[in-house]
Order: sequence, then C-alpha cells, then structure tokens
Amino acid sequence: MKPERSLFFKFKHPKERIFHRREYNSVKGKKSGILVMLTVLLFFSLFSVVLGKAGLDYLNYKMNDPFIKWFNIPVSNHSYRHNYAEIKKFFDENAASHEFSFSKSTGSYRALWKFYRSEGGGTILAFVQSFNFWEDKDLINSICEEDNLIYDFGDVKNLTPEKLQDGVIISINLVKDLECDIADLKTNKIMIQDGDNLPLTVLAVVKSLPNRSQVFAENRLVVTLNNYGESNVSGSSSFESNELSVYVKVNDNEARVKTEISALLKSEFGLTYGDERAAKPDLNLLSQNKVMTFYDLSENLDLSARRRISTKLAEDLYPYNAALMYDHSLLIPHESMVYGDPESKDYSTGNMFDILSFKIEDLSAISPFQDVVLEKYKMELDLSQVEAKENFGVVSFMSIFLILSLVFFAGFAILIYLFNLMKSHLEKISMNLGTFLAFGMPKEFLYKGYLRIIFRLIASATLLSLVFLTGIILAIRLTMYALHLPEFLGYMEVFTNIWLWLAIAVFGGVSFVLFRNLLKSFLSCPPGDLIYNRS
Amino acid sequence: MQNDAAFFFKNIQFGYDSKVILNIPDLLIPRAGMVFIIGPSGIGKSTLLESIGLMSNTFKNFDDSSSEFSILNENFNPEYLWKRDENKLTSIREKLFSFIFQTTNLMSNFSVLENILMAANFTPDEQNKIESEVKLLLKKMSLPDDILDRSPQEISGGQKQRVAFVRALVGQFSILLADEPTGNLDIENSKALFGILSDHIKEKNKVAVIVTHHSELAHEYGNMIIEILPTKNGYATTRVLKKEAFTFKEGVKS
Repeated sequence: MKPERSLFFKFKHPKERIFHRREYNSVKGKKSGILVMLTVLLFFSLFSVVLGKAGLDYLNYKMNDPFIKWFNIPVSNHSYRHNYAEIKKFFDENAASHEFSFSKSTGSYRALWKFYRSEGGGTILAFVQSFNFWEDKDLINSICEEDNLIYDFGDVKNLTPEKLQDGVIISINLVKDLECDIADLKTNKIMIQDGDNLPLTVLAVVKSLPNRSQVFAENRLVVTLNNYGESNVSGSSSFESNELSVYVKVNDNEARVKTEISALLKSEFGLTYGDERAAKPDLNLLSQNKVMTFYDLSENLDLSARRRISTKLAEDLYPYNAALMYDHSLLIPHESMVYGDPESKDYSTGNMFDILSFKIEDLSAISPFQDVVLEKYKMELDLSQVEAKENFGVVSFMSIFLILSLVFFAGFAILIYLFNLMKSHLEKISMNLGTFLAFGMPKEFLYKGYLRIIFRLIASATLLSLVFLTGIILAIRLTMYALHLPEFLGYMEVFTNIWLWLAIAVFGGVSFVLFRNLLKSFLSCPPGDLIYNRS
Repeated sequence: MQNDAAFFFKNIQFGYDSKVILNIPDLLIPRAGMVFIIGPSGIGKSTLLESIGLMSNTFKNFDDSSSEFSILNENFNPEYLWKRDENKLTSIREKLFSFIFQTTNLMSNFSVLENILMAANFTPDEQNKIESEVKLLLKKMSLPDDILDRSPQEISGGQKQRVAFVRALVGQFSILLADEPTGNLDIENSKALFGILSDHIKEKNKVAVIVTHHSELAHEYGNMIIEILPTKNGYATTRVLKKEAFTFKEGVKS
C-alpha cells in the first residue's frame, strides 16, 4: 500500500490518516469555528503589523528628504537685500574655511512658471528654482539620489549643458497638477506660458526638489525667461519671425476650431492660414494635440504684437488651451551661453540670486551656525525640517515599541487561546487516548499526530489570514484614490514585509515549543492514569 | 507448569504511593481459557488488571532475588520496565494485549470502524484483511454491517459494548484483559456476550482475564476463578476458587 498524502503531510499508515482527519476536524471546531476564530485573530494581528509598518515606511518616505541637510537663505528678501554682498562673502569665506564644515551652492533664482495642463485644460503655476550646472554638483547629486529619483528620462546622473538648454527636472507633485501620466512625459514636452510659449523637456521626475519647488532648471534658462522681452539675453540675433504656429487641444471639434482660429487671426491681425499638421514628431506636447501654422504675414511680428495675439487667443479660445509659438529655439539659452564661464557672465555675478543655499553634513552643527548668522545678519534659518526629522525619530521609536507590544500581546493571547483549547481537548478525550495507548499505540504516534494537527491549524489560519490580508491590501490599493483613503495605506506590503514574516516565524516557533511541552507533559502519564482520569 | 502461564506471580505486591493494597505470594494464570477475578468493591481487582496489562505502574517492593513476574513465560522486572524501557512496555502492549473496559472509551468523532482500526495492530497491507475480520466478528456479535460507518453517538449502549468486544478481539493478541466488560448491561445481555467471548477465546486458543462482580457469570463461563480477599495485614491477597484443566494448545493459530 502506498503512503497516503494530504495537502500538508504524507501518511505512512492508514491509522495516521484516520487520526489526523478526525482529530483535525474536531480541533478546528464545529463548522470550522475555531479555525475561523484563529484566522480572524491572526488576520487582525498581522493587519496591525502591516498597518504599523506601512505607517512607519510612509513617515520614513516623507521624512527621507534628500535636502534635509540643505538650508536656504532667501537673500532677495527685503531684510537681507541690503546685506547681499556681505552675506554672500560670509558664505564663500566660511565654506572655504570649513569652520562649520558646509558646502554651498552658487545661488539660485526663484520664478513662477505657468504650465499648460494636460487633461483639464487651462494653466497652473509652479515654483521654479535654478542651479548652476558647473558648480552645484552636490545639489544635483542630492536630487538624483536613488530614493528621490522616481523616473529618469534623460539620464540625469550624466547631465550635459545641451540637455539643460530646455530640460528641467520636475517634482511628482507637478505631474499630479498637470493631470498627466508620468509615462507620457517621456515622449511629450510640457509647455510653459511665459511671454511666448516654450516647450520644455522633462529630464526626470523626482519625489521632492529643494525649497519645496516643483521645477528645477539651470540658471541660464531661468534667467533667459525672466529677462525675456527686456533685452536680447538669449544670444540669438532676433526675436522676430513671420511664422506663427497655434497649438490647440482638439477632440472631435477640429473643423470648428480651425474655422474659429482662422477667422479670428484673419479679421483681427490679418494673418493667413498656412497648413495644419498633427503635433510635430520632434515636438510632441503634453497639453495640445494639434498645430496650425500661419504664414504670409505682411511683416514680422514684434514682441508686443505677439503678446496681443496671445492675449486675444487666450480670451476667445480659452476652451481650446490655445498657445502661440514661434521658433521655440529662439527662447532657450544659446549653446554658447550654457558652456560659458559661470563667473564671467552676469547671470551669476551681475544678478543678485534669490536664494543662497548651503549644506551642513553634521546637523548638530546647525545650532551654533544659526547663532552666528543670527547675531551677524539677524538671519533666522528654517530649521523646521531638522525638528521634523528629530520628531520622526521619536515617533518612529514609539511606533516600533507599540507595534512590538501589540504583536507580543496579540501573539500571547492567541497562544493562550490555542493552548487552552488544545489542553481542554486532550483532557476531554484523555480516556480515549489512554485506551489507544493501552492497545499499544506508541506515544510518538499521538505526539507527532497532534503536532501535525496544530501545525496544520496554525498554517491554515496563517495562510487564510495572509490571503485575506493580500485581498484587503489589493482592494485598498485599487480603491484608495477613488475613495480618498489615506496615502500611507498604499505602503502596506505582505510578501516583502520582513516584520510580518518575522512575526509569523516567532509565532510558529513559540507555538511549537509550547505545544511540544504540553504534549510531552500530557503523554508522560501512564495509559491507566489517562483512562481513569488520575492526574 | 510455568510454561503454560500467561502470567506468573511470585511474591508480588501492588499499591499506590507507599501503601500496599494487594499481595500475591504465588499465582499462575494459564495461557488459555476464561479467567475471572472476583472480589468485593475496592479490594484491588482493577488495580491488578491495570498492573498486569502494563497500564499503570502499581508494582511495589519488587525484589529480584525473591520476586518473580512473567508474561508468557518471559520474566520482567516491572519497576525497571516502567522507569527505563518504555519502548518495551509499548511493544508488549501492542503485541500481546487487548482490552475491554466498562466504559467503552470509543472516540465519538471517529466512526465505529475507525475506532476498531485505531486499536488494532496491523500493517498498511493488512487493512483489508482486518476489515474482513471485523465484519465476521460483527456477525458473531449480531451487529449489522452498516454500523461500521456510524458514529458511536448514533448507536445504543449495548451496541457500543459489543463494538468494544469486536475492537478487543480483532487482530493479533494473546491475552485479553477485561475490566467489568458487561458492567453496564443487564444479565441476559451479559450472558450472551460472555457466551460469544468464551467461544471465541476457546476457538482462538487465547486467554481472557476478566474482572467482574457477577460471581455467577464467573462460575458459568470461567475455567479459572481468582478471588481477591482481605487479610488481617491490611492488604488483600488472592485465592484460586476454581481451576479447570484447560491447557494451551501449542501450534494452534488464532
């Protein structure tokens, strides 16, 4: 006769199978009541572990700011503006002396750019902060840290000046505001409305950017756009062009849009329709999907004329997200500018930076440094991030302690429950087990038999609770955005959750020791004592 | 004489803690036949049965030089067995003994057949043979075949007792030990069961050692009757009331 197998075990003798089947059914209770109860208890215990770990991971993610060691001084602020040169000198000198062991950035410009949105139409405003490609390697490295980098479309760890001519790094928050899929940013440019409209290449999407900004661009691009219209800072010979492209978002109303735009431009500005194309392959835009080009202009349009057209289009064709574009290469910094000597151009020395940033490796040194700058320049640093980090440490410790306590007490309660269940079961049938022993059944048979039963009960309850847990987590993930559930729930993990497996392993190990001792103690009685209930 | 002994006792005492309750100076229980143990309640009948069935260690003051205890002609030091050789105890129980208790001790969550199989000594290949033997015994006990699939909770008290008899008689054993096996039955049913048991024991050339209160049943079916009676020393002792010539037939297989 071949050994009989069940889902869990291989039985060598028919008696083993009979005993296992009958006693397992008895231990798991009527209608599997005990198994259900155990599954529920385990489910809530494991759910607590998963939830606690998710909360901690979420907090950790939130707190794991690559810029925690970066401090920003808003030197364009009225309070510091008159001391700008002195403050900059102080930072340059102290960075060189390493008295406080900090490294500094050359300085940044801040700007507000208006972006065309993808789905909802209209525009949104986003904070921009600039950096110096040649000197701010530390800052760029912080941005490109593995934990911060979500999508890398442009190999940002190997940035080149060419990439930064029209390339920007944006935060995940901006992606949400733009109402687009991240994947779309790989092939489509985002367009800003700043005087004229300019398509930008997204080099990377990151978790966060310095100073809570949403766009990170090279100094020269920011300066070029800030100064656009005031002077010929781009390095190109002329801003004028006789070609005008209108970018619009159309659906099934294309013919009507074309008629309306053509009529408007003809009647108001005397522009003649030239041709129409789908968005150029080399210039796929995220927000507009159709381009119409107008030629045959009587004369080149200067900046003020273009602004009038732009205003009119924005007012009259608002629903179509209409944007004008000339030769967009006119707007981005000329290649020679990007490669220029950073110290010799007015972008870095002639202009006042809006922000001076520095990085302190040892956060405990920030307080003495704060004292110095407060006394010298009445300058207060924003230490909220540092304090938040310290608070996180406390919260994290408390959470771990509470989770461990919860797991301990839950596990303890479950084990007590199981232990009493098994003990009372054995006591109830001690007469029968004694009879089996009297007939010559080896104690090892009962010992192994009950260990198998307990193992199967715990393994079944654990498996079931894990299945429910996985199902619940899946359901939460699928519905969390629709139901506006807290974001930290998205951090719940089952299979990669080391805490969960550790809790299960400890629970299994303690169960084994506990039940082994119970069975050894129970079976140490002679059969006669079991049959006649002599303790 | 000792060669035909299921049990042989010489200078053996039984008791609990430090108290001796039964002293057997010399007693031989033959290897075949129906042996009844009678005596007043609480005198030590069940203690004796438990001890010789190796269910409890109530042996006292065993002295290698003056005491002797043998099962099927093999001498044992029972105190040593209990302390040092539990595997041997299990092996003796498995190979030699079978039991019937006053309370049937059937597992209510097992079917009747499963209860019988759990107590039987068989290899996996012998399951079908054992089940056939069970069916034959059911017929002898006037029990229907379909009772095998039922739970002990679904059958009457009398049927349970008959199932306990079947459980005891099935498979390989040499000595049947029964403690008040018909204690819960009326006299007619008791007689019927003892009749079947007596026939089976004689047919299979085995010995049944039975504790009972019914001395009339003992006299009717017993080949040997051992009475346990009190003494002035504070412990009980044994006396053989009846002993028929009923000898073990060498070579007769069960």
